Amino acid sequence: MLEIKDVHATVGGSEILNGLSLTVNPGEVHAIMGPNGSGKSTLSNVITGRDGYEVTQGSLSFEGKNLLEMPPEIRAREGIFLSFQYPVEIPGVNNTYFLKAALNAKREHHGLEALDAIDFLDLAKEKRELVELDEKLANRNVNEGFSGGEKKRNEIFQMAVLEPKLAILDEVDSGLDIDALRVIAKGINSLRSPERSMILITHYQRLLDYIQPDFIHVLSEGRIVRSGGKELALELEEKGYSWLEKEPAA
Amino acid sequence: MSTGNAMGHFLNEIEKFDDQQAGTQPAWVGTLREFAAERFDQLGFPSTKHEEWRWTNISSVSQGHFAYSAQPANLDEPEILRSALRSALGEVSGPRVVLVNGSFSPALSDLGANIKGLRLLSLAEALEESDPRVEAHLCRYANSNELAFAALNTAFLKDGAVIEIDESACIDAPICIVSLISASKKSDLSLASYPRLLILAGSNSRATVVESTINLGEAESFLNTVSEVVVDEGASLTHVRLQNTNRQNLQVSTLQARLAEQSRYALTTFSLGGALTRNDLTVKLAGPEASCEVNGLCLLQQKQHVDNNVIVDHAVPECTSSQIFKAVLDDESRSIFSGKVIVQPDAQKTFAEQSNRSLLLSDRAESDSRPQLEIYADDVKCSHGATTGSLNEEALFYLRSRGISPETARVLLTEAFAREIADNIELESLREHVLQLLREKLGEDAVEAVA
Repeated sequence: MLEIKDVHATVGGSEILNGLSLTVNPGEVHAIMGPNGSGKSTLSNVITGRDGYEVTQGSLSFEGKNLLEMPPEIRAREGIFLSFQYPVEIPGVNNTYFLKAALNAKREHHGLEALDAIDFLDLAKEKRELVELDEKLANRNVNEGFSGGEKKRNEIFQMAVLEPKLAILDEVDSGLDIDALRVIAKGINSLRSPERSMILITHYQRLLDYIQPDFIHVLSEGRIVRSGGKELALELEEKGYSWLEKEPAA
Repeated sequence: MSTGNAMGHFLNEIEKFDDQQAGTQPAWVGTLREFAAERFDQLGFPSTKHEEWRWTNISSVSQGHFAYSAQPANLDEPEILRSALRSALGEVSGPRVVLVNGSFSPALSDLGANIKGLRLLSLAEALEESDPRVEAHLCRYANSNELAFAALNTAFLKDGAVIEIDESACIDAPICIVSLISASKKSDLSLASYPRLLILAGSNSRATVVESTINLGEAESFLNTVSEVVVDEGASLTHVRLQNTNRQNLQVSTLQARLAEQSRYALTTFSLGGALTRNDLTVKLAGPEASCEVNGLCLLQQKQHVDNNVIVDHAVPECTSSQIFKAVLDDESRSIFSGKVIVQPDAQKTFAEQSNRSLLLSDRAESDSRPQLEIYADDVKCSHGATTGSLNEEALFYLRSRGISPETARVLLTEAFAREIADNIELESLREHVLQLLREKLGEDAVEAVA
């Protein structure tokens, strides 16, 4: 589904990704762990096509299509979703209205008819319940005045509505207390399916107690230096990241 | 001062107009016109050397070949009229005065004769019958002595609209004043019109006035309006002005409002159309505990130019004023906001706030902001702030990352910025109409961006 080969990427002239390769197959959940500054967020920005992130070498493909030729909105319509570490507050833009526009842009891209307001509201109601997002919040301006936990719920709510093939969850646990984390994790787990892949980007092992990945990769200085199964997380928990940093690429 | 030639053209026009009116108006109206004509001659057109006109060069008016004409062109087809009214008012419905090139159109108007407490009529009729209330107030507030454009308008004093709201009357339906400009393309001279509006809101009354100005066709025109607004004790008046003329329209509007004790006046101006627009908006808080809101939104493209010159005069204690002006500026458009708050020596316990925010959608657009506070009292709270920025890149990426096209994302974010002013409108049909106009204008951008 997602094929990243030897990607080098720069931000403002400095190289952050330094020959990163990763393959994600349908239904797989991959966790990307690593210390601050290792390139975790750059990876998510490169996959979603954010301006200012330049891929200087290597290739990224999604379902056989070259991602580098697609602007962010086309990547989204093709089925890539990013749950932001810091969701943006957008005063004056209604959350429901915006999400309906997003879903219909995607449906149009796939040759489907636009959902009308009533069908959309039914869908939104069903998906809101997954993450226990209050209706009033869902109908407010995008993330405006939301608490940290509410913002993350709103991200997963959007994911549930947009039904991506690949979801990148960037530090989805940051700023959450344990109860909020449980709700979010439950929502995310309910969205797991054999067709849907996920990339969990996280600094802490804690999240992986709630969302169990199939693979764990450790990122250091812009490359994956170690890959393994669930047990790798426990090892990291015990030893920290420093013992991996000097090892050759996996 | 402008060149003698330009003044000569306008003075000739005034003379011709004066000849046409001979014997048709009461003597007091003639006196007002004569005084104004004389003052206009003495004052001349303001130039950019005048501090108040520093940013707005009106030579396109003073050097233009504009002729007074009340003769409407192309106004015999009912479909054109219906669609004109619809673009002016959307679904807003209420009693209305329709002015065509500044002259009252009985056929298009509906004076709401059975609405209790409202007297709505053409200025021409009010002048003809020497309506005592009109005679008492007309030309008392808009100063022909000092303001050249108010003098010019008054020199052509003939028609317009009068709204008289009785004491304690509560008028639910919005009172609409529609100004249609219908210029003929054939003529060498472009059309000039000088409508005038007088609003008299009786004590403890409550009403909403909607003014909408549009063109029929694309011909050049000059519109010089004067509005005088008197809000009596305890009255509440909401006044919304929609200016959506064509890109060949030059407009200079003078509005003077006087607020009595415990009255409230909320004025909102939307500047969407026109090539050049200058609004001189002055509110005098003349009775204790009066309050006013003066808000405005400019949504400009290409070389459109809007200059809002606002003066709020706190003459007495315990009054409140707020001004919020926003501008969305694309291409090479320009907006100027000068907001002056005067707090007179006696006006203790004044609360005045002012904000001016501009969103620049292009590197070539320009926003000038000139807040001025003149405070002569010591126990007052006054604040002002001005910001200029572009669209938030983070928000743009967020929307795009959900599949929304950059064009739509820009429209959504721009509308979000602009709608604060529209959202303040209580009357739903009017709010929806304004939002629709905003979307249409922003949508033009999106279409252009895709093309």
